[in-house]
Amino acid sequence: MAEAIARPRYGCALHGAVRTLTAIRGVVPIVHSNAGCAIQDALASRAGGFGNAQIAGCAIPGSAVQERHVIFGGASRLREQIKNSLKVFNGELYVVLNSCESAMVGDDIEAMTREAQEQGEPVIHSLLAGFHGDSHYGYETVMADLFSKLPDIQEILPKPAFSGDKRKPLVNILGILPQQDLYFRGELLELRRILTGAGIQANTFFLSPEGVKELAAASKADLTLVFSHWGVKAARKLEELYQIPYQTYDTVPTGMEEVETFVRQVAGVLSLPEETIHPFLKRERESFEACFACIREAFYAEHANHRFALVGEERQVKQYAGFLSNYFQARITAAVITDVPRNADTYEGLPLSAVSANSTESTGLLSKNTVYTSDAQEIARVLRSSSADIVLGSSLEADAAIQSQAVLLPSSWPVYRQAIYGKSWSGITGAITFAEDYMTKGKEMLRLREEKDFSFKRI
Amino acid sequence: MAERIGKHIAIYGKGGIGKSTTTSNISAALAEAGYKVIQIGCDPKSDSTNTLRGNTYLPTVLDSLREGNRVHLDDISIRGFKGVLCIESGGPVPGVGCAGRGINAAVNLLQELRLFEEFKPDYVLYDVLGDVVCGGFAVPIRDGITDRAYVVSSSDFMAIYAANNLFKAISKYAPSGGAKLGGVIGNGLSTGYSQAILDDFTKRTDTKTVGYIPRSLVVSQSELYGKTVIEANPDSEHAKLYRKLARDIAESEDLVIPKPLGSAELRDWAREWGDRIYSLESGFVGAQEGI
Repeated sequence: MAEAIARPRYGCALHGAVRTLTAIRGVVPIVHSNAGCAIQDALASRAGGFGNAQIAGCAIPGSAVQERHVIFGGASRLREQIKNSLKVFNGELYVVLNSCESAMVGDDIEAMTREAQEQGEPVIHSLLAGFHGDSHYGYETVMADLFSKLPDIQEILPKPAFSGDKRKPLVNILGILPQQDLYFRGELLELRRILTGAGIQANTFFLSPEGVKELAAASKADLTLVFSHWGVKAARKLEELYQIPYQTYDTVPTGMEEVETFVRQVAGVLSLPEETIHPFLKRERESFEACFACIREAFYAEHANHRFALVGEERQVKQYAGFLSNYFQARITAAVITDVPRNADTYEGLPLSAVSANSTESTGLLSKNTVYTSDAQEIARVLRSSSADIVLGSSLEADAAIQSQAVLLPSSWPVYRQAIYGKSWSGITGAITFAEDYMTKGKEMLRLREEKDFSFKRI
Repeated sequence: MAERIGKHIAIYGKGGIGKSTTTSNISAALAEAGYKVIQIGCDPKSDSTNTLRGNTYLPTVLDSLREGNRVHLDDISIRGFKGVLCIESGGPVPGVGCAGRGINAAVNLLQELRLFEEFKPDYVLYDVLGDVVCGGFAVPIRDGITDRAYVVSSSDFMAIYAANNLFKAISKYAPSGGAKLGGVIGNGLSTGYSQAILDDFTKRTDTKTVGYIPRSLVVSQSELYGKTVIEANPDSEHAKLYRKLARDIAESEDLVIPKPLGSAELRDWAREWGDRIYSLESGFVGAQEGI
């Protein structure tokens, strides 16, 4: 008998796709569903900093199908909605997403988008009925669909095409999920900064003023960098269709050593000479050391090697555990992975022996204390028995952290009481920010324990 | 659900097996006997009540839903033979939309329009499309809309397979207030062993056959005239058969929850009958050759 999962933290496939598309400048999603599918995601998306500069939330056009469209088919309603959306929204690319209900009825979405294309309109579709999977599935599928379908409509996309420098190598960045990854904006900005510094152009797709052009240019990249297993599907599509090789990473590199290893490795694949990357790495090391020397001083003075527990996606847990262990000798007392791990055959209360070994390979830190679940009750139980000083997790872990006399450091979605727009805990500047947040929380934890009052401290 | 007005009877069966013919003749026989009858065709083809209303035009319930206008009972019903109130649920064109949901919506709309309170029928017959392929087609036997279902079947394996599927649906819904089974109506039976096959199937599933309608030209001829047998050939043997069937169905309170056969069980049972028929047929052919 299946067990209940309390407070699951993921939306459906459609939601994942909506989040992905609304993070790309110039894209207008058109949701072919009954009223409510996109609104649900808009409400959930308010966590962690409400605000999206694109066509998002309540502004997303939808066909709002009714019973008669279910019975008689909703394709003509969709045709009308596409036509209206083209008139009302000034987009560069329109992506039709279907829903559970239209998939079950079997509406011919493809015929409707083909019709629009024949009229010279940049409209494509991604068939993402919510029941196919959770929001991660939505991300990986819609990205793969964008890459495979855009070249077909290259002629009707806005001109000029991508304004990149043809002399510099170009890489695609995948595996960092809009919104689902709490710090996705900061992470992408930092990765772009690092790669640019090393003489490499990056298609981040999100946050870029040339989002649609970057999508179209993805097929011309030299390499794809994949920072979580959720990016592999789209990277494979790029390899299959355009012979673009890809490199996978368990985490986004965090800390000077890690970034240097990463940059040298990418430079090696792209055959960049040492003189291209050396000045940048040298500068970065100097600024990193300048800050970190102070942090190190404070760390020893304050005995800040705290015990901590982690709750988050596989990539985040590995990344943060690796950084805190390597740079702060912090002790991991528990780790909970909330997304479906790579190569998982089973999940949520079922045996995971096959994936445990795989999941620990990058950090070697998580083998004993790792639990795989997104069930809030199970997570609370793990945290209560963890003896952690600091819990890195989502706002859903706030109560369990208080009960464990620990403080919560928001690190995974959803986070309700903090605005997060451009910061990150990745790369070099992100590592400093992470160190600051960790040290600050350590002080807060000690103060609260002295006051013996955790009851009002929620984040 | 409010108290049911009249007896509500669902009639199922494989496509083309003669459900509409049988249902219309039962309706005609009941109306002839003085009862107030409604027949609701629950099939996108919308041809269930054709022979009751001489093929006159009748907008379907779902046509009105499609238009989105306010609907009145008069717009979607017509009085047919002896006052039988004819209604067709209608549905989408083939290949699009969801006919199952259509039946659900049509039945809901009829309830909203207070059809039964207005007409006060003695009998309501639902003529439902084939194989209970999804939840939508089980609507008439769920949620207390009808309290009894009959299935029309020949002795062909696919017709029996469809009947067995309906038994599965009934056994699933009956314990929670869904309809029970009145029995199987044998239709289009021709060869000598047809009746035996059907009887054996009902015996194995703890059900019964409530009537046998042999294949006949009278039925085909009446249909070609756009009429029921009761109307076109009132003195024929078939008219008598339909009247008796209608009387039995109207009066019977012997309802059961069937015990459907499992897939393997049904296949083995069919194979067994295949072997028996083969022996019979080869013996028969052998004798002919002798002549």
